Amino acid sequence: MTDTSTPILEVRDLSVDYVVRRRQVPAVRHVGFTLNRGEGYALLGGSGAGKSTVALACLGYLPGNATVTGGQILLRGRDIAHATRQAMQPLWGADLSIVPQDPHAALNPARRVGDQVADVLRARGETDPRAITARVQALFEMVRLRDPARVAESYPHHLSGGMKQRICIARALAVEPALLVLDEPTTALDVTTQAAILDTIADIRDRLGVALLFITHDLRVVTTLCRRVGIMRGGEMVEQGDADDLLHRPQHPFTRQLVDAVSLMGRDDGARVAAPAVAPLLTVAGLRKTFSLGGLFRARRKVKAIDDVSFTVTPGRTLAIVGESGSGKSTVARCVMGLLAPDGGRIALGGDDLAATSAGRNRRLRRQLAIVFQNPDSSLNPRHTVRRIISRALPGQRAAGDQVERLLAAVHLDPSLAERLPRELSGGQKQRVAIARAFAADPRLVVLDEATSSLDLTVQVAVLELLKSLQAARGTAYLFISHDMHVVRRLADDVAVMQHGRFCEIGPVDQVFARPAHPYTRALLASAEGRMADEAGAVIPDTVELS
Amino acid sequence: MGGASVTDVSARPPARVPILLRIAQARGGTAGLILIGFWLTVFLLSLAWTPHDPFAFSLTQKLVAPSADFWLGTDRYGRDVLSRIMAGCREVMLISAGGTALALALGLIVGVTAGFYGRLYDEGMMRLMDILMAFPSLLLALLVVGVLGPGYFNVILVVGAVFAPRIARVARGAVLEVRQKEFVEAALARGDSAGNVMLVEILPNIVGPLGVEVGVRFAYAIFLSASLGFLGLGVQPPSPDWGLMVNEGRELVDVAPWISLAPACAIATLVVGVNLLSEACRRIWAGEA
Amino acid sequence: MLAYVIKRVLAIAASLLVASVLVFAIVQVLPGDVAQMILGRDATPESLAALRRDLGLDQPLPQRYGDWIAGVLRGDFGRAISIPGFPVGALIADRAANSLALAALASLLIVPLAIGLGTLAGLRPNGLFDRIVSVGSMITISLPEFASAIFLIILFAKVFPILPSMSILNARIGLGAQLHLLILPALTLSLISTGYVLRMVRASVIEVATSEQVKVATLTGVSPGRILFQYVLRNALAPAVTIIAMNMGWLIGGLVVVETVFAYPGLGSLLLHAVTQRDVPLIQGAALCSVGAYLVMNLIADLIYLGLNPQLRPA
Repeated sequence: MTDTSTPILEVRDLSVDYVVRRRQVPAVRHVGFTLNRGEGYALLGGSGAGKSTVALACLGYLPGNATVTGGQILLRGRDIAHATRQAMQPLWGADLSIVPQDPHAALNPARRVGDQVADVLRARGETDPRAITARVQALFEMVRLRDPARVAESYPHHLSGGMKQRICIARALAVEPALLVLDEPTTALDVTTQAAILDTIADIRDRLGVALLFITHDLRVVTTLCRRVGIMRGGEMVEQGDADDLLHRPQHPFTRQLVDAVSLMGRDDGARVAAPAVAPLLTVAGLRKTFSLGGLFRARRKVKAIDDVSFTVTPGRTLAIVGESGSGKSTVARCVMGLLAPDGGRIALGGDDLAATSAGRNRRLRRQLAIVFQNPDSSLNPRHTVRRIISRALPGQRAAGDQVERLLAAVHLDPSLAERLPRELSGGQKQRVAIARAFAADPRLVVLDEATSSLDLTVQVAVLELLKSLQAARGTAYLFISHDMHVVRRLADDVAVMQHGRFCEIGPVDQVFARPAHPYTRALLASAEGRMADEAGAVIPDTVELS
Repeated sequence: MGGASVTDVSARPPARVPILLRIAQARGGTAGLILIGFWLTVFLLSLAWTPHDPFAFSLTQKLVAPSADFWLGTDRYGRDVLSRIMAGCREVMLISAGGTALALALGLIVGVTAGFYGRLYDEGMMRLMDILMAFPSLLLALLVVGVLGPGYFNVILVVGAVFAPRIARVARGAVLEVRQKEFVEAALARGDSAGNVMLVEILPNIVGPLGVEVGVRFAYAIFLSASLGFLGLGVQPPSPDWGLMVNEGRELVDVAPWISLAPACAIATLVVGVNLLSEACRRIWAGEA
Repeated sequence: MLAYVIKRVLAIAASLLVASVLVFAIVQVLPGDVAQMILGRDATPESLAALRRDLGLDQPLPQRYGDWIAGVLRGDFGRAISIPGFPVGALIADRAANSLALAALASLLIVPLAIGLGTLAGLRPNGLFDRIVSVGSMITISLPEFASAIFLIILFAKVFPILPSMSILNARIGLGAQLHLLILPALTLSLISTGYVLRMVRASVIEVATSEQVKVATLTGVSPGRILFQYVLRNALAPAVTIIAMNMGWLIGGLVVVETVFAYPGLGSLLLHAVTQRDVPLIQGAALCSVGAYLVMNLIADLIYLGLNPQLRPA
């Protein structure tokens, strides 16, 4: 009989190595923790910390080139650390299951989603088709999918990200496993969808009493679901314990950094200077852009990406445009930079009208604008050294004297990194190089398109501080595009909230955050706090297809 | 590192392993290097010396089986097969390399500009390439050879013309992938000229898939020129073209199989070597090795 | 769906038209005087001029093209020069059936072998079977048809004399009775394509087998059997159709060499004969038919792929 006091999962002194190009690389070192029935435990760490490896080891699904070199993994008292996949097969789905990170990649594109959930039921012995259909319906209702019958008949590509993730959760719980491993389940989703999904998971944990092993890099997400947290870094567990304790009394320096970063992000830095009465640097009036989509099969439909948007940016200050994916905010950035020609409206820099495309703009005006993109992996040429990347952005495409070194120093990078290639740098370093490149020609306005979204939390904080100091030193104005309300609060003076191509609300950050006028703004703020919005704010149901 | 936070640890730069070593480490890479190395050596050697004169007829030494004097025997005109193989190696290398180089030049011009400029120009060019590729290579080669006539330089032209569309397609595909990356957008936003962007930003990033395709094309070029030679439409006698040699020995397969076997094996080993090398490079580029 | 099919058919027809222009353009650039070739060196200028008028050689190029295409649409491909007076259409029809039989037999070998071996190899990558199959396929794709023909002839007609080394068909006996003559040519034809398709299928199977959706399906408990068929093969083999269609083009080109080596009376050897003889109408007709066959095969492959792939179907 199962002793309810036996922990569901107990990891003791686990060490895992990978073999990469004939060399043994340690990935996990002496990690241990316990997970009891109905409990939530979060494994927290940055990229490369080893948390995914631990999760895979617990699932018995380590890749072929990984070996457990020490320790035990006790699932309900049974050591599975060295179990073969064949030995694990009866356990998958029945004793433990997984909710994946990317719902778009996790479903079979050639099979209806109802059938995919039914496959799990069939594998565990259920044969009666009516019972199967009923169970699938019940599962879909449990994960709050609207119109479960229609959804079950659909193929994955007909459904939104939020819906797909709910289906993945339903599939994972189909035969009620005791342990559910959640591998960053909300990273690939929109902010409002994230909040809804986390809420659903919490509800399920309470109802079914399933234990949760929650893998994440974001501390803020953890606190709603998990009582206990383990912090991993460089393959080791640096600290673990009660979530509350860790948040308020962190012991290890790394934990302290994480906690500081979170509270820093959540905190408002203090008085904002009122806008000086000067002529605006950037003026955008009546901007419009419509895309017509459609391929061979779908009827051509027009999507109004930007629908009559107007705003100004004051010299030396930051305007943030905040919204979710599909709101049109990135399109605005591209139009301002001249990478995309708008269908209508006027863009002017300091009184000079800007041509629709960058090719049409004169060199002097072009130099006054710069952009930093979200993903440093695709915004830096992988075949150019750092020196070359920055030099090409300088006037004349050549560096005079120590210009490159000075720019690197300005972004807090060691000048010796100038000879490195992007793949030899960390994410934060690459983004700093991108910032150095943007500032190379001494622009008056820098557009930052989700420039911190791909970075680990602590690195985000550092980069934001850097941006603020650069602005203070050089008087550069920023147009900051983001989906993250915390970041906006830290960096911006003014904010515009964008939805479906239009501004819902625009005003000083203090004002908009303290007294949001539009329901969508309220919903965004509420999601950022990790709560679901109340009735007064609009709950964005993710069963609505954003077409 | 100045005021950077402690967590922003710089990745230790992975040692930049020399490319030959990486190829040798990939599966099949060593075998490929050995085979190619072997034929390169033969090529270089043949420039200076062959055991006998590849063109010298001999009335007394016809159809001699492989022996101490003639390691691969002689053909119906008494010519030393080994020497002809070595001399033929020169032909194969030069024709195939020349044809592939021509195809690369033409294909790059069309493919890179099509991928970069896009829209109508791209559509039109690719339709044209598709039509050309709708012709099986040998068919197209036959048509062109039918027009130009057989011969050494014509084969190079044929190979170049037949393979340019495929290289164009691959180049265009690779350029499209790179074109949408933000560092290209950053360069365009700065006002870099189209030519500058294509040459400096884009080209270095398509070397991988393009290199693999060039390797594959080189193997096909050997195929094509040898097949044309076999059919009598390529390099003409008395040239020691390997395809031609196989044809010449075809009727004598009963009595003197070595005349056809030797060049057939030569082609096989050379092409296997090229294919293994291309495959190894493809693996390295895709990060599988 | 119907709209898509119609669009594809029209696209193929358009391609064929452009291909015909290309064939015509390339061939008509032929140097050499056709009339001279027919009448010989001693022909008088008057008879040459008369013949040129007869053959329509004094017309401008676009008109000659128009005449030719109009004839093709009626089924009249003109008359051959190297086999004087013989209608090209009849020659082609005669040979096309033989080539079709050979290509069909080769395909029958290729498809099951390549898909079967490729799948098995892909399911256990780097195992012994996979290594053997990889080496074998590497060798077959590296041998041009004439080289493998020589090896096969030596092996099956000399060392183990079980098959004939020539495949000269007897026109009076039905094809069915002479099937043994097709074996060696079909085998030679299929070697290269089998190698290519096998390697592609293997790569596709490996890619799908290691994909996220298979991993998650496995970890949520779907049975291994169902995973294999519904999650791996279902997604891995759909592209195989397109790959096989692409290789059909290789087959058509390969026919030229194989038919020559085995003296097999097909479209390929006809085309080679036409080219060596500079027989313009015959070249045009044979080339056009070959390209047409390839385009039609592509169309069929497109439609099969559409049937297999739900992502292309409207919501």
